[in-house]
Amino acid sequence: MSIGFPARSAPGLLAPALAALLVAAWSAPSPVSAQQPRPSCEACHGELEFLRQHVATLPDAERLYAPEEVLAGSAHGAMTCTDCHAGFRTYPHGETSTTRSCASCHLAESAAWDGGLHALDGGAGCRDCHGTHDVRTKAVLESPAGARGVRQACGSCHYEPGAATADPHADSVSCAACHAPHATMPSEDDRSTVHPLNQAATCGACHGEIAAAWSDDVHGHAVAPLSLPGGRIPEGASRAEPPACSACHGAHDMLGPSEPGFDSGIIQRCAHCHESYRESWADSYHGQASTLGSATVATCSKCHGSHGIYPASDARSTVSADNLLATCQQCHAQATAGFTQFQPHADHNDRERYPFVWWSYHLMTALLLMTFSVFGIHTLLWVTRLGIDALRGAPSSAHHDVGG
Amino acid sequence: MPVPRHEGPLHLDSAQRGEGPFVWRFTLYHRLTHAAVILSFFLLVITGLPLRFSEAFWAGPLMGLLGGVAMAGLLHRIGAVITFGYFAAHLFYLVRKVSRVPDPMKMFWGPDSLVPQPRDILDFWNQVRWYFGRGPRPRFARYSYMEKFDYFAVFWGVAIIGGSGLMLWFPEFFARFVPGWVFNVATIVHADEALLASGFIFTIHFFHVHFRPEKFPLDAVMFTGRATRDYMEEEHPEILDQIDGRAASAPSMDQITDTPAPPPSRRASLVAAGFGFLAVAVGLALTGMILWAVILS
Repeated sequence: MSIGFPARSAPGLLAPALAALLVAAWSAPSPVSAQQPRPSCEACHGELEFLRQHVATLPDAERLYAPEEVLAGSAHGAMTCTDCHAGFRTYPHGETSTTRSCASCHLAESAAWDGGLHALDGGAGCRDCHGTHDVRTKAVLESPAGARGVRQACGSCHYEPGAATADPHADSVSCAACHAPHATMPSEDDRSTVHPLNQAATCGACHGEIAAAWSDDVHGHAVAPLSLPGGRIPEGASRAEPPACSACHGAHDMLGPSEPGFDSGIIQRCAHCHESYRESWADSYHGQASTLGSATVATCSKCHGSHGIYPASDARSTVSADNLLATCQQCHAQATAGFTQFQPHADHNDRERYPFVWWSYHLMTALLLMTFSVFGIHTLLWVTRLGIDALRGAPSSAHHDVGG
Repeated sequence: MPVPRHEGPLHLDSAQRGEGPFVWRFTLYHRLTHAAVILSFFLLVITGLPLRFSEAFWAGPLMGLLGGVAMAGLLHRIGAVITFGYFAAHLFYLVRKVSRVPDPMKMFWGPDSLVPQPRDILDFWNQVRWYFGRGPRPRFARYSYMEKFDYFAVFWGVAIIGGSGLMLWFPEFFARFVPGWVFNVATIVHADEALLASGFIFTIHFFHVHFRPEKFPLDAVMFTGRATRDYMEEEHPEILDQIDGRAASAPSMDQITDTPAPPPSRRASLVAAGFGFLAVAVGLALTGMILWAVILS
């Protein structure tokens, strides 16, 4: 039997339970000898079976159960019971016995917590995440094993079914690594560590080079000064949701770049702001083959890069006039300058920018409509004629009568 | 020479309608070419269609069935090679025929020719008049205007779809001679012309050859090579008159055509019908998939 994390501490319920225990312990046979005025805490609180016999319910007993070895293995291993439970020095315990708050030592954490989301009614207190007697240190919480523990602790309230199992962070990065553990904020709050404005710093703690490259590129500049050259933002994009890490990678359903589905997932997220480019790409062989599962054809990032994306007018861009050929040559090794005049995002409805594409699309459509109309009518009339003849019982479909 | 009697007609095959005797309408070369056209065409359509309608619900599963995009691409190119093969063979056949037949002009003009001529306009006009009850059905020669259209559709279809397909197959090579936007145009032309071809074959050609009441459910003359005189009387009466009037010493251009034929064996008839029905069923299924994708897109 282990001490779980009570999701909700209810100090109000603890006092009557303690009182009940006191009464019970006093009147019932017990391992505590009456001759010992100062029994060790362990004598009662290290015996779950004993506690169980003297309180009303098993959860009450578990709450009072604090064997020495649990405390010894915790962050508080060097402390004694009464360092926290100061009011319980005497035995039997007095009626006004008190327990010191965590804040009496951990002032900064407590102050941060006070301003965060978890301090609200129905939030989470110290013990909900850190445990009680098995209190865990930051180092333990941030170790892979600790990360799993934290995930379970957070998950008791923030459970997302199906999330995170394929996420490369799932087994190594704790919730707290991204979400400031004490000053927890909703992600829409620009003070939140996971707000788009702060993601480069938060994710960059581990992914420093990527965050630096991004900060300098077109997406990074859309976030930092919230303005692009010319103040232009793509259709579908919004200043309220600038394109930081999570805009492309998601948050809890992240995929590693080598996972199947990584590219197609990224494409959908690019399309969130650049839908017209996704559509024109999807009309091309690149898009068609990619939609059907080809991993070798050109997708957004294969041509445009990922964390160093610049407008084509920028010399650093992978699709700038000087770099485009090399970009095409990644797949089309024999490509020449003329090859780069291919329009990977041609829109057959845009006559201004893509006149040849517009003309070929519309002429072909006209050819199809014309051919199917002419022969469709020809066919329908044929059926109608034969139908009329059949109804009349006249064998006029034969032509024996004519010159045969 | 006794005319072979038609012993056990397969009534599913409308080319075996009525009583015999049979005459040869198509040579083995014609039939093999048409079989190559059918097989390569289906291979090309089945492997190309999922790309054209890549976002349709059936595109992914069909691509999976074909073994993925790379495998489908390989099969598509095999279909292309077969197509270029029969196309080249046909050009060779035409040249050879021009040089060998006693009267090559007949290939280009007259009732034996596939070349559209004034009489086809007249036939078309009479066909329309017949639709509206203003006259008898036109009497077609060796090839009706519908059949001539089918023949030349393959010609320009292979040229246009094959040409654009080659460019898309070897873009790096062709980009040395043409600007890159030509591949944008080639993609549209390739896909839409192919859509035109498959839509036309699976609806108009199928109706004209198999579904219209006189021919329903199947006309296997292109597979067995022969048809009864009754069939010829209804479909190509004009040429039958010529056959009857032609002296035995002046055979037709393809030697065997128009000569009396033994009835196809029961087994050959069944194989031909099975092949025909399979092709029709696959074609109609593909048409359903195209319509679904076009209507829901």
